[in-house]
Amino acid sequence: MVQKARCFFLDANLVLSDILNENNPRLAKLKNDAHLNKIPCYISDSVKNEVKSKVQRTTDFLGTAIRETVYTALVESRDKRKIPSDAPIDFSDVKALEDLFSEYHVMAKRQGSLTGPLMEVEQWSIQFIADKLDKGLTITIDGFLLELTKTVLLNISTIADVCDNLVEFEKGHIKTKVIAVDERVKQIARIAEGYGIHAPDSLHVACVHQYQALKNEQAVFATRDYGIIKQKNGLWERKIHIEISDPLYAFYHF
Amino acid sequence: MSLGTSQVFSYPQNSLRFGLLDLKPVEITEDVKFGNVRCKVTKTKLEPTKPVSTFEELVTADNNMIFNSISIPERFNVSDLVKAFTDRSVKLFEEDKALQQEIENTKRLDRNRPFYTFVSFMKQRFEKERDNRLALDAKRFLMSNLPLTFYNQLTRFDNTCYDFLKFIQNTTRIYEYRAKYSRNSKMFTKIIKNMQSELGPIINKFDECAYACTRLRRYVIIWNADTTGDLNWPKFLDIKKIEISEFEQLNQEFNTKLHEIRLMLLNDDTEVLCKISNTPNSTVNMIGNLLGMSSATLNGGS
Repeated sequence: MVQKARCFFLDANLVLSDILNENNPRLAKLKNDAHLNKIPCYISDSVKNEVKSKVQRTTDFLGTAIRETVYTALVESRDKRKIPSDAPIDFSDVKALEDLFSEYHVMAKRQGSLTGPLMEVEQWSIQFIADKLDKGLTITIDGFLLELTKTVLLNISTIADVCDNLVEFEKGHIKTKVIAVDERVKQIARIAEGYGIHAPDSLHVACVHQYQALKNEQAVFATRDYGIIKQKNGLWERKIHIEISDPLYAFYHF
Repeated sequence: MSLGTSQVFSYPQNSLRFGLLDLKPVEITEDVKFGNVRCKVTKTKLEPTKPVSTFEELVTADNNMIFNSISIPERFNVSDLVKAFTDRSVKLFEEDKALQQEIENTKRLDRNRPFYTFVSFMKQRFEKERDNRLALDAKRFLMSNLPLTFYNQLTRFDNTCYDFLKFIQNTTRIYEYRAKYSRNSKMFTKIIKNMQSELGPIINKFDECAYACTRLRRYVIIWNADTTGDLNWPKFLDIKKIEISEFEQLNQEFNTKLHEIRLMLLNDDTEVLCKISNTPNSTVNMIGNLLGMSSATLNGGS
């Protein structure tokens, strides 16, 4: 019997880890397995779109956080204290930001929502000011926001470049597979959603399943999302045979 | 914030074209005296292939093309805008003695590796002004309600300019090294022509992208400027003052051109492949954590 061709399909979280050049031993293991056994690594175009839209959304989220959230809090606090906006930032400004972020934490707790993204901006921006103050440097609000924006632009533009190199121009170990989202794919995605696999992950899973069926290849969908992995058995019960695995173990699922 | 000389040469396409492509090698014979002996020495020099346009003509043509291809507010007319932007560029060019000298030096007989030296000058200058350009765009973002993705694309173009200059520098270095050791002037001419035909398509592609980028920037500015005096630095860039469909179309054209030039560079030079550094960077860590969050979390996060 001729053995089916094998391939890995990667989830967006692994692609992002690769873009960020994170020290990720699990991804490194998968890449090594792929290299040694000549197994191609693919992403569906749905994963490609998710990665690109995440970079874009993160960029705009940071822009709004800097230009609106942080700036407004600092200026309003200065107005209340009757301190000119061009005076150097001091401990009172840091405490104004503390008040701002505390309000967000309380509001989020009351609404049962997460403050994750804003907490990231909070930690980063306070550390940014602390670095300046620790060095005895003076910086105005405008100067501080300018530095924050410059730093974000410098880094996010590089991330977007690396992202394009990897997923758009395929200058790495990943190739994109365009899989048409027809009725069958949509139906499988709906079933996956019924098992708690949320969009767009449900679509990624359905696309991999479709690819297997059309190309008669054996695919393993590698992800770090254990919420998806644990739903594999449910999908199998519905005759949706697809291997889903942590990248560390993906090779052993063929 | 003052506009430095970098504003004229942020995108070095015109200078590069003039310095690299519109020159051809020609042989000249000189009488040289060695002691009491006179002899004829044949040398190769570089001459312009066509009548030299003035910088003003070049910039006027560019600006004419730009302002005839986008809609403009009723308070302005095309010729006023062309004049305002051309005058500004010419003024900065005239003040930029170092660049003028460098362009002249490229045509000098005795200069070793003229192309490489010229491109290195352009690259060095571009690198030196990088932080200023970034600061200018950051400031424009803070004085606007345009999304950060818009400014991010402009920064990506800046990154691409740098990669482009690196590529050109590397190519001229290789070809001029070969030309230096060519056996005769015929061989020299052939090598220089080969270099020009290799660089021609990529400079053309870069031109297209730089044009699309400049057009997009100008479009945003003219719709936010109340008078020609504001064209340098409108107080606030308001997205509501812009016709969104045209803005999106210009943005799309720019992104397509950016995509094309990046792909061309990547295919020609793997050194362009950048990677995120492994050294600890709190900004990259923060962005990485945000990227790891679900889209729903990010949308509800601010």
